[in-house]
Amino acid sequence: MSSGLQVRGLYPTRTSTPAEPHSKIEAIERFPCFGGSCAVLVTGSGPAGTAREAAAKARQSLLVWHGQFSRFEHDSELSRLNRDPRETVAVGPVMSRFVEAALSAAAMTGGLVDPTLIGELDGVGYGHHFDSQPVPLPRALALAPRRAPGGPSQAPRWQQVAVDRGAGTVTRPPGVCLDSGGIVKGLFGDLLAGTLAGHESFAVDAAGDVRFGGAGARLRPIQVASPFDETVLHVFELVHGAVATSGIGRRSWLDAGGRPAHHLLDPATGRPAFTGVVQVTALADTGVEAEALSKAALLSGAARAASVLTKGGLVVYDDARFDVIDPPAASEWRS
Amino acid sequence: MIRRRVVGIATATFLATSGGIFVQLVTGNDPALVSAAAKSTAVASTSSSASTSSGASTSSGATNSGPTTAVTTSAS
Repeated sequence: MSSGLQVRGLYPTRTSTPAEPHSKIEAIERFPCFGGSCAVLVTGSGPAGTAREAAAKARQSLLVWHGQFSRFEHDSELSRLNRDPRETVAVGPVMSRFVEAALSAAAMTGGLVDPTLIGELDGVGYGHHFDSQPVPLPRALALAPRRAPGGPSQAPRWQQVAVDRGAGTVTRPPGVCLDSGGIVKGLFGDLLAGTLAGHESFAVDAAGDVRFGGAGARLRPIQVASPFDETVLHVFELVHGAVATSGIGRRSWLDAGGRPAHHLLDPATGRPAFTGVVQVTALADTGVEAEALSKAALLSGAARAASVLTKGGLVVYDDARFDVIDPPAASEWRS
Repeated sequence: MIRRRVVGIATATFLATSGGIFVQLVTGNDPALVSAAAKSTAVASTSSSASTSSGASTSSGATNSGPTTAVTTSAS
């Protein structure tokens, strides 16, 4: 679990006047988690208490879940599940939700988003926390092999995994391991949204996966950062839903053979995918769906990526050009 | 007498100015916030659908009843 500086605070979104209602004040928690920066923003009292209490509770939940689902923590529930020699293993309710979500994402994307590639990730050098200096994206792209779309595994292990949420068990051949990946970040946003939706407005930013909404139906500006220089490429303004961004800009390294590597693998080859797309931001109704769409679009390659983003998004290509796919009509995005 | 008149005029001017500013803020017409909103709207007009772009732009899905803090999404 991350244990660095944790910044907490309560900041007004505008100058407060005596006539201004308390519901206009947005409580903000910012803290390191999931190997990146996370934030929870809440306006107005609701099921989780005051805005400040709600933001603090959500922050605590994210930190606890991170410890529970990190494959880099030896004693996390995920690590214990992955090394359990039994075929059927009892798991907690959030773990069963995660496995269900991961299998759903794999099925929805035809196996492109495969949660069982841990051995392959270890093989390309991602068996521990990424804490080294990343290879600059232009250099990684210059060294990368010929661009090609990804594809599903010919022997998909995820189809051997089953979950019984009622019984609280996961069944799989021992040795088939699950990677929490980005799907779990989308799921956490969805879980927190169940409570925070009763507040005036909220946003949960789980290191790039953003879930937002609220009873006040306020617009939330969502800025998409460039993978090349972190400048803002575009701003989506939406009332509720989810946004997820997947890309190879932040965590690229050279493997033992001097080849550029990153954590988004092509299931067909088990190797880092270089598809002509370096980053995809997907809009969707839920965090799990947004995460699945963003990864599937990136793996689909430059020619097909935009068509995968049926609810809108943004695609950044190798040469830094980008396409914006606007979301559907406003009425479809209202609560 | 002159001194009283000067004090009276100064006080009246101060109250009139302060009152105007107070009313403007209470009604939600903070000039600084109006400038920010107008800027955002102007940027929104440059948005295009499914097009290749090279500059920052804005997409809007609906209208809101108040400002919220922007959140940035990037690959982690």
